[in-house]
Order: sequence, then C-alpha cells, then structure tokens
Amino acid sequence: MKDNITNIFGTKQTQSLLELHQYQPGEDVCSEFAISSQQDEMPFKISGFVSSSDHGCGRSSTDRQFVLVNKRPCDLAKVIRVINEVYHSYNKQQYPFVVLDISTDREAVDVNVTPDKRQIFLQSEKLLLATVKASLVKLFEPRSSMYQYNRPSLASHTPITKSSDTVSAGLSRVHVTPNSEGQMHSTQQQRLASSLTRLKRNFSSAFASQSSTGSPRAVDGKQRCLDTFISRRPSSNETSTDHGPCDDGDHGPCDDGDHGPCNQGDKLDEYNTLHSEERIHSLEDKDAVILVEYMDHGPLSTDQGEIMCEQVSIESEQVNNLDCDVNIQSSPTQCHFQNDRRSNNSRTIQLDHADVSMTQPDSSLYVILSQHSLGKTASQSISESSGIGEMSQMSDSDPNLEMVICGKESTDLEYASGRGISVEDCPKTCDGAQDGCCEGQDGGMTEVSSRSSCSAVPSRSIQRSAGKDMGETQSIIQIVDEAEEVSRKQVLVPFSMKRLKERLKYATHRHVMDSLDSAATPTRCFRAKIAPEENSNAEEELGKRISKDMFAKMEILGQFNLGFIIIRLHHDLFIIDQHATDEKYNYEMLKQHTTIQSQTLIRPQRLELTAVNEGILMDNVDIFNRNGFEFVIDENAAPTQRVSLQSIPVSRNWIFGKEDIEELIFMLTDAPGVMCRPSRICQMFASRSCRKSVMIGTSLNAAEMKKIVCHMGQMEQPWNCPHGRPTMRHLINLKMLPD
Amino acid sequence: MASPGSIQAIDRGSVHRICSGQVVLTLSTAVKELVENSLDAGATNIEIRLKEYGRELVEVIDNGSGVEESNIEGLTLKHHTSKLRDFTDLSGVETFGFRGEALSSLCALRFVRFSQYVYIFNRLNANVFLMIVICEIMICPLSK
Repeated sequence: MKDNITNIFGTKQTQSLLELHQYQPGEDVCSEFAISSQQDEMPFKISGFVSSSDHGCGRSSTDRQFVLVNKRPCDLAKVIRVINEVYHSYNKQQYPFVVLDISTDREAVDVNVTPDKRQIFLQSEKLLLATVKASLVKLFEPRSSMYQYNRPSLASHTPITKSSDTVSAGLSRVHVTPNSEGQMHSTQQQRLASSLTRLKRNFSSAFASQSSTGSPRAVDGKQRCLDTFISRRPSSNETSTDHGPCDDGDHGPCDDGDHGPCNQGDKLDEYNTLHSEERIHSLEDKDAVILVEYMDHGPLSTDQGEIMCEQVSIESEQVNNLDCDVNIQSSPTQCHFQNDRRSNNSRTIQLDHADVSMTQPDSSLYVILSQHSLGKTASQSISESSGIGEMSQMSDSDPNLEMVICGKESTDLEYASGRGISVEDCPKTCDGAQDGCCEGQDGGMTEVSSRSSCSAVPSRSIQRSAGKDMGETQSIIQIVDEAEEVSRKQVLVPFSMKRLKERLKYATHRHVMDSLDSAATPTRCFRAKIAPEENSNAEEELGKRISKDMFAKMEILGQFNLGFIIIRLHHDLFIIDQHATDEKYNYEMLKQHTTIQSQTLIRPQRLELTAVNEGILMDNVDIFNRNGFEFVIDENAAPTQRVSLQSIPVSRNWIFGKEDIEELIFMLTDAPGVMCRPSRICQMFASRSCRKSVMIGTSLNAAEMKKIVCHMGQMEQPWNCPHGRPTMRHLINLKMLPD
Repeated sequence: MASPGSIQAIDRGSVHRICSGQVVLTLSTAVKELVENSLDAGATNIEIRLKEYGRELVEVIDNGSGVEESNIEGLTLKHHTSKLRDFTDLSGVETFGFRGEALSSLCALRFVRFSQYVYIFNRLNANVFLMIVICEIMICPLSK
C-alpha cells in the first residue's frame, strides 16, 4: 500500500505518513459510541496510513482521504468524520491524508446501496468508529509528547496543549473546548500564558471534580489526573466533564473586569494576562462547587505537593486541611502559623517566612526574568508560582495578607525552581514531576481563591458548599470575598534593577549548578550505543540534550586517530567525526548561499508540461530562477505551450534539464511557494562539500577543531552528514568511571 | 384516446434513459465505471484520454482480459454481466461492478464505440508469444 501511495502522491507525501495499527477501543471511547467495551473478537481489521499530527504534515482540505472496504473504494462519511475529528484535536488547522483499508467479512457489507456503488453499509459500524478512533489516538498520543523533545523552545507550550486537547477530545461533550481555546489564543495573544492556563485549568478542574465528589473515587480521579499529565493518557474522564461547562461561561465580562487592575507593570503585563485569563477560567467554571474547591485547596500551596499527596491518600484529613486552609485565608496571621506548622511537619522547605516576605517583590520579578532567560520547561512551574505572587499582590490590598501570601509564593518558588529543574533534567523521576505539578496546581489555586471574589459568583458558590456541610467555610468565603472586592486597587511593586540583576545572576548560576548536579546523578542522559542500528536513538538523545548554543561551550580535548575530535561537555565525552561534520557544514552553507550559474540556450526549448504543471511553474517562477532555470513565458499562447526553457543551470560538469524541472514542479505541487532544490542539485552540493571538507587523516590544530565544533552549532541538522554518516556520538559519562 | 390524467406505462426507450441517468450521474462516474471494468478484467495498464475535459470524448484503453467474441452481443445490454449470476452471488461479489448496468447506461446516454485489438508479439529469439489484448472504449455525445 505504501508503495502505491508513493507512486501516486510522491515520496514527500509518504514521508509524513504514519502507519495505522488497530487497537481495541477503551472503555471511554466505547461509552461514547454507546457500545459495550467487551468485544472478544473484532469483526474487521483496519490498516492504513494517516498523516502525522505534527504541524504542517496534514493537508489544507479533505481532498486525499480514501476509505476502502475489502479493497473497494467507498465513501464512509462517518469514518472520515471521526478521523478528522481526532486529527483536529492534534493538529487544529489541517486535515489528514488518509488511506484506510477495512477488511471484513463479505457478509457484513452491503455494496448494493446506491447506483454509483460508493455508499456502503457495514455491520457493527459503531464498533468500527470506536476502533478507528482508539487506533488514531494511540497513534498520535505518543507523538504529541515526543514533540516536546524535538522543539525545546516550544516544549512548555505544546505538550500541554496537546494533553488538554486530548482530554477534551476524549469526550464528545467537550467539543466546545478546542474552539474556545482557540479564541483565547487570539484574544490573549499569549501562547505560553494560555498554555499555562490550560495546564492549570486541567488540573484545577480535575482537582475540583475530585474533591467535589469526596468519595474514594475522587482520590482515584486525582491520581489519574496526575498520571495523565505525565503519561498523557486521555483517560481522565472527570477532568473533561468538568471542563465542559466551563466554556460557555461568561468570559467577556470577567475579562474586562479583571484586566484593568492587572496592567500596571510592563513586564508583569504578560503574566497578568496569564492570570487574568486563569481567572476567567475559574469564573467560567461557573460550577460554583469548583470555585469552592479552589478556595479550599488554595492556601495549601506552602506545603505543595506533599500535602496534596497526603490528601490523596487520606481523605478525612483532607477535609480537615480544607477547613484550616479556609481559616488561613480569613485571617492572615493565623495563616502564618498554619503555614509554619505545615512546612515543619510535612516538608523540608523551611524558609523563614518573614524574611522571604520582605524580599518577595524582587523575587517574583526575578523569576519572571529567569524564565525569559532560561526559557526552559522547568521554569514554567516557577513562573506559575511567581505569577501567583504578583496576583496576590495585586489583588490584596491588605498588606499583611499580601505579605504572607507572598511569603508563601516565594517558598513555593524556591521549591518549584529546585523541583522544576530536576524534572527537566531527569524526566524519569516521576515523583518530582508530580510534586512539581501539584505545586503549579496549588499555585493556581491560591490565586484562584484570592480571585474568586472578583466574580459575582460567590453567592452561588456558597450555596453549593452548603450542601457539603461546610457551613464554616461558607461564612469565611464570604469574608474573603469582601476583602477582595476592596482589593482591586493597584499595588506598586518595588523594583530595583540592581537586585534584579543579582537575582538573575544567581538564578543562572543556580541553574547551571543544578544541571551539573543532575549530570552527576547516576541517571545517564545518553544511553544509545555507537552502532548503526542505534543511530536514530542516538540522534534523538543528542537532539534532546544538546542545544545549538552548547557546541560553543564544549571543551576540545584533542584529536583521535587523525579523524575524530574528542570533546567534553560537563561530564560527558563526545566524539565528533571531523570529516562528516565539516562536510555537513559546507553542504548547508552551499545550499544556502550558492546561486547557480545558468547557461542560456541557443534556442528556447519547448517544455511539454500539462496545463496544471505549467500553472505551477508560472506561479513559482522565481524559485526556478533561483535554481538557475530561466523561462520565456508567453501568456497568450495556448495552455501547455506557454513556457519554454531559456537557460539551464550549469555547474562545472553537472548539467540540469527537464527532469529536474519536473521534479521541482512535483515538489512545488505539494508545497507551493516553498524554496526547494532539485535532488540532483542537492547531490551536487553533497559531492562538492565532500571534496572541500577536512579529510580523515588530516591532523588538526586546536583552532581548527574548535572551528569545526562551533560550526555544528550553526547547522540546521547537525547529526549526520549529507551521505548519512553520523557526525557526533556520546562516548562516556566521566562520572560513570570509578574514582 | 387516454385522458391526460390517466396512468400509462412509459415507453421502454424513455425508461432506459431515465434509469441510466441514475447510474451514470457525472462524467467522473462514467470514467470510474470504465476504469473499474478495466480493473475487473485484470488490467495492469489503463490509459484514460479526455478531449475537452471529456465533453467530446472519453477514451479508456486497457490491457485486461478483453471480451470474447461470443460476449460482444451481450456486452452493452441492460443487466447483462459476467460478474454475477443470481442474487445470492451479491454478498460474495469481489468485482467492482456487479449489476450489468454501467455499459448499457452509457450506451443509452452516449455514443459508445468498443474496439478491441489483439497484438501478438514474437519476442526476439524466444519461443514465447506474448498476447496483449487491448480493449478500447470511446464515448462521445450522441449528437456526433
């Protein structure tokens, strides 16, 4: 099947395809299609290919979607719809290329339906739809998290989006979600912000649902929710059910109302946006129970995940906690004590609260900056907590309360930064990740709780909470609400550039230290062996661990065997193939900078192109020109005779001709307007770059080696040479050696 | 003799043309039917030629098994097919076509010319005769 696809649509199409394997639909999918999840044997087999869900791999319309039943092409509208739905939850803008072959018993198919034989009736259609959905989700799911590694800069954004989308896709009810999220995007223009928000929302709603039920199942829900975040399983039903109603809430008014006070600092702005957005969400979650639950959870933030986890395990204690937490909110001083007590008995973070609260404004700022400068996933959690800091500042006019909350924030922050980084560095420590999540979560909640009063909802929330026999809580919430209504005033944040710089320095230093520490931990980053079959693994690891700016920092240790350069980064030794690396660099430079000379023909050569191809050529004539082709175009001539070739690219002994034009046209059919080069030109570059590169056997001095290594940082794809030879491999982690 | 409101049978020719309109809805359906015929005949090489986007001419040439002379007569008759014998065969049908409608419908709507060539090549120095049956179906508007 794959060969046929290649023959018809070209190799480019094939490259972006993933093979679809059949998976048994899970319980949630089954219930969505209203079928029993107990299926001993599938009455059909599905196989096929579908576009990868990565951005840009799909198509702009549904023009290439083919369903075959027993090799008979047909229009199965429902199947196509399910496929598009699932695909949209991973790639919002595009439609997939699909070839889906369903083979089933001939008895189960009715082909004699319409005169044109395109309609087909199938037995157990619902099961088929469920299976298609489950299989697609299985296919795309891991990819959405793989994304994280491929594009480190987007890492904090993408996976979260994906997971939330998945969750929403998991239930048909939640259909509104992706749309309104999209809206958010455009209105708030803060991608990161919104993704953070979504993260929070995911979590907060999950927590909300969990605690609102208050039964053992709830605990389960929470656990699952955390799991979901980590493994990105779309299983958290509860999460999304509570999601659903959120989106039709009145977010217009809240938006306006809350934005005002936020816009005070310049850098704070975006985080304000973030948090006002978060607020919107919380308001949207008009389910007042959720609000109440936010409040209940909110003040826990000092103790972070720890307490959360305790709650998970011990439910009754949770109730207790909730009670005192609410108390905390009502009276700041008390809160202080509570917090102290908490941190003492639960965790190691024992920052002096008073101290912290004094430095607080600075610290929150510094976190923002460090977030900018580090731009790492880890700092996401930091930023969350920092955001909370600001929010609480802004929202609380009562200086006392503010301080305390700030204090909490900065503890949070210390904790979060430590934790966060460790999460980043060793993704395997789920523990840490969970804690980190909880924190972020808590943070969000604190903030939400302080927020909740801004809405007109509280009265409702009280009503709901009454049902939960928390009469005490009720009245307290009322108080908090009043306090916050006063709190819309602006609060000036003391700001000193000097301190900020110091902080920033400290943060960077700390980050470096942390990364060193983590490198020192026995969990090795590089595991792939140097073997041809492990090439892709090795490349993935390198791509994940080594960013381009790191090449400049690498220490050259020396040349090995006149062919390889040994370099060191922290505790890791790498070996670099001097020839392959230089070749790749030369190749990329040639590709970018060479303009190919062209040779004018004595007589323009008529091109026998189809009308469509001719149109493509005329639309993209500048791309051809850049590749050295020039044409005479006669607009008035009959179609297929408008273009004739005037000059062809010539480069030493390489001559290009019609085949290359056809190849270019073919590439442009798929991606019009994108600069591309015919494969033979690429080949020419490859062979030319090979000649001019440093050869194996040439001895290099330190400067030359340094140059080669630095060049690696400038390449688009540094991991192998144009002929496929690997450029760099990890040798050993020095820490692994016995002392 | 019949009053304007009475119920009468439509003459056979009209019935045929009315029903054919249901089978071959569009030009692409026409091409699809012919290509499916070719595939059902085991063709590995199918050439489709359109003139004026098919308005003047649709031509499908294939190297399938061809049509035996005895079958020519039934080729374009309504509900004549080699793919189905009775209704019970319907559930096990593996070919794309099975109703024996396409060609007759095409004939009702358009002028169809069917031609078949058999080429026999004697490959150089080999005692192998390669037989290629080429079926060619051309469809033009009735007016031409």
